[in-house]
Amino acid sequence: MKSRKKGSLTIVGSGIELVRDTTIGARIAIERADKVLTLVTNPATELWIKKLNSKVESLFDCYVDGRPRLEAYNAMVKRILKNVQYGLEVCVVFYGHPGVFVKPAHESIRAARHEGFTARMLPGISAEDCLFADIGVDPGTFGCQSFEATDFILHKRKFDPKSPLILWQIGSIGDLYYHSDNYISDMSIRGLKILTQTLEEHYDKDHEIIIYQASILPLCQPLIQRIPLTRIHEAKIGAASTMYIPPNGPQNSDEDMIHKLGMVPIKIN
Amino acid sequence: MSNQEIDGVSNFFIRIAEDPLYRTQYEENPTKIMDEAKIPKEKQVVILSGDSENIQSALGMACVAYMLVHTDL
Repeated sequence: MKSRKKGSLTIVGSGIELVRDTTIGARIAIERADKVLTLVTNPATELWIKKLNSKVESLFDCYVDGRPRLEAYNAMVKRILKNVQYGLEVCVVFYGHPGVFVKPAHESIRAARHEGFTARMLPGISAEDCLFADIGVDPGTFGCQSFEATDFILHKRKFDPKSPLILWQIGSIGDLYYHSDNYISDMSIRGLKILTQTLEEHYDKDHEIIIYQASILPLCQPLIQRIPLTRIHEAKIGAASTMYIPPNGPQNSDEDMIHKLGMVPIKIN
Repeated sequence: MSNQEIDGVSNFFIRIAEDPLYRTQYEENPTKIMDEAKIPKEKQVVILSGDSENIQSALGMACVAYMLVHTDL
């Protein structure tokens, strides 16, 4: 078996809500690491990780206000790799699921493996997981379509309005720059108008949508705003907001397919 | 908020998250627990209001301040 270089990389997620959402596997990886690098969104999580392992360093300073987020991601990958190259067992903690909307996590794994280091990612709890629980949606019922909002508009993604649609990062549509506050830029406000127009082509104007934000702290409730499609502009939308659009209209099964599959109605007592 | 105050609020939420008994005590007498946790009075008002958005944005903004201080920018 080919011997691996000294030094390794484990990437984990802190989940969304403080302490509750960090998996046992992630917690063990944090506790055992020689060095812990973090990118989490609140000081309570940062402090908790520090209690688990004192050799912690934040990656937050890779962000520079008003600069492209991609620059920050590249800086994070470099710093992560540098620590692995020192021969350390490195654990990186990202907010949420480390593989969902976390470009530097995937890039770091690829780069570390390319250099001959052992690298792995542990799954975590994502905002989508919280949404299913908080809104009460089961993707097994009518399916689920999920797109990043800018990608959805730019590439004119094809979707089925009769299946639930989730659009992420609706507070930063078209905005490739980092902003330290939770307010949305003029560019994003323009993007939101374009998004609304796009959706109006497929849904009734009074179709109720949900603007959702998961709770990050105990004692807090998730933010769930129900509002008609045409009144999106009245909703409070921040950088962490997500749009959930329930299915539009009745679900009609294809009679021909029912016949081909040999399905027969069942009676439930 | 000062660094010390941010750590105080953070520690309060960590204990609430980790310790069901502490959480029960909070639910029975929130003001007493928050006083013991040295939560600044103005933050107590925000937490007691139960307004998720305000609590999260207060902590979110505090986070930026915290990171700036801790990374010597």
